[in-house]
Amino acid sequence: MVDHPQEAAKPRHSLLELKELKTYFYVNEGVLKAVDGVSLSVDEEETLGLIGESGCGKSVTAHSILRIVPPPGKVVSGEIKLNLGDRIEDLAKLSASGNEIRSIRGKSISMVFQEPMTSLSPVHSIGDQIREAILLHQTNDKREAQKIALDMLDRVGIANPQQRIKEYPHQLSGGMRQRAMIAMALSCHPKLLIADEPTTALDVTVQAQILELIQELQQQFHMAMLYITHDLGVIADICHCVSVMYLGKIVESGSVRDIFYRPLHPYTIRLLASRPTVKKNPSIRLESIVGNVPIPLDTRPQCGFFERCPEAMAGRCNESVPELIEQEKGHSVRCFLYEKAR
Amino acid sequence: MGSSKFNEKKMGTTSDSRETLLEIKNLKKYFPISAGLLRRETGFVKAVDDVSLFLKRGETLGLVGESGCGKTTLGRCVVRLYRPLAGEVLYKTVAGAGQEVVIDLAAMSGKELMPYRREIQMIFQDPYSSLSPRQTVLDTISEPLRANNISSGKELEERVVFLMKVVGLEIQYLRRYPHAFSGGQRQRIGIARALATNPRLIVADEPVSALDVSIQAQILNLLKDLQGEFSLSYLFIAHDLSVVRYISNRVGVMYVGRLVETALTSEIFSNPKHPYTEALLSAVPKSEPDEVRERIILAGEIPNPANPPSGCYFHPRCRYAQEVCKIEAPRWEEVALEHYAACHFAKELTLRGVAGAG
Repeated sequence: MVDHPQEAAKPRHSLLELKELKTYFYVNEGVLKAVDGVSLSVDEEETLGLIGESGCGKSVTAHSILRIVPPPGKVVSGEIKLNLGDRIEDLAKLSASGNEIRSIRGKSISMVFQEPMTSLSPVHSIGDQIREAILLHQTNDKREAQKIALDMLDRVGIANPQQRIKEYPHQLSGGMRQRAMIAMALSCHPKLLIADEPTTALDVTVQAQILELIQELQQQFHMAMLYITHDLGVIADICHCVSVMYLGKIVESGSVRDIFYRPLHPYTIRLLASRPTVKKNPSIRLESIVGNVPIPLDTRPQCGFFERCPEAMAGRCNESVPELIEQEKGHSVRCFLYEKAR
Repeated sequence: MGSSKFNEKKMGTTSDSRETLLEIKNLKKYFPISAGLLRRETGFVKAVDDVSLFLKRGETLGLVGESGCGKTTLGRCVVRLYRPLAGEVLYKTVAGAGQEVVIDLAAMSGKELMPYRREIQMIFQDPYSSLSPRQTVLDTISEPLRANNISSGKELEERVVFLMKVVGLEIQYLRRYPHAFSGGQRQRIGIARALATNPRLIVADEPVSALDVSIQAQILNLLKDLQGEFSLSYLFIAHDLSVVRYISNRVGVMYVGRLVETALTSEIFSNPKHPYTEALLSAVPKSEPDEVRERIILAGEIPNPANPPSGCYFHPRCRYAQEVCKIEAPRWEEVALEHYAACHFAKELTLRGVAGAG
């Protein structure tokens, strides 16, 4: 790809920037490096997809940004820079229980979780739960909070909000619960929405409804999104940029078209080849990745994909950790294969 | 129960040269709803409501639908974990002298079923809850062999070792417990267990949906290889249409307890005849960023199978619905060669499939 000069000249407003973020869990078996030097950036009004398999650290990355990593986990080092308009705050330096981070959670950054049944409180009504955030960040007037809550329920497509606002999570269907959850997350007009597999537990037609809704609201609210998923199809649908995560590290990042049409990292290439799609010819055998997803416990200083990589170079890939290096504008890869190309 | 005049049962014939192994006719399974102090029956959840379909030898029939559509219940009726309320499950078995007889599994008692249990096995969705944590791999895989008195002693262990090799598990793990295995390896144990008795038909209930993408491909390829090696027939239950597209020869689509469409896989993806199938296909996320996909967003939610709508169950959400759809339930009809659908307008509508899926 040739650089487009006019594109390069356009100022990029970065909203969130992670630099070498490390979040470790100190467990009995040793140090579990769930997030091991993650760098990524989300621009204003942009959607960054964070993709990886279970245990790769994508959810812990999200929890680290909001500083809600449960013990024995700890944000060890790195930067989480959030652009608040008038200043840039490094969330990694804040106390996880202090007032500063609490004024950011739910206001500047909010989050939608995978399973709305377990992330909503079963003993509070939908209304109580939406009003909580509004009363905390926006207004002290309960009637105004009620008005905002009703308006939000209406905007996420819940029919008859006057009735629904009094109901409890168990009275709603999975899709409705996820809508209520989104209403809650957006009630304070966040700059950044972190969505952690919000449609994984839903049926495909409901997933289509929710994805459509999220994209619509993103435009209305001019917000950026960090979208975490294991589903490449969802990434293709809604993301502008993608970061591929493996064993606690970003192994490749680029625009969504870079990742799908010009993947560089052996893991990304095989991940794309290993998934069936409705368009792929079924008589072509799926390429599978040998072995299992490793556990990031006491990892050796080598490329995390070394054991499963068909292109691994013994003596190189198992001797040191490759750096994440930009190959073309905006397209970076962490792999020794591309070392000499520079 | 269980008139054992098996030979009187007749299966329908199809144009394909491959013979029918399993034929389900008008199968029904209702679950009672009870309420009040006396737990009186107040209604029924019609989990499977008048479903007819067939499965040919050596083929994979993919059964798709959204949660609560009855696909799992149907699978469980076939392996007779559930006793159906009505209908027939005709299965072609081989009697002593290589002679084929057709039996009705739906009507049989537990004792009558015993000799046929080994021929029909099941693979479960969740490899974490479908393996006993207190049984070693050897115990787990050998259980069906012991239960059916097929082998014992040294022969039993040899058979287990063979099965482990077949599914790609290391022999040294023979005496390990499930907790020591990853999800993909556990699913391999579940598959080895299903293969232990040399079955002819396997009901696989969402066998890959709990697995990571890279592991999912391993298991799908394994299932395909095993099918060729042991001439297995699969009833493959899944909600992921791309998985079904990869593994199935034919596809059946279910909605609220009823089968709405069946056809060859390529046919159903390129040329759907039921509006629900069309909507389902359009809801699948794009396979790549440049794909153009016009999405049909269905209004409302899946109806409650205890209180389904009148007429065609899909009519409140169907964009082609007419007056007749509200009143009359559509008939199950062959709309093209081996392409069946239950829609009043199946022959008239031109519906969109997945472009390039033909």
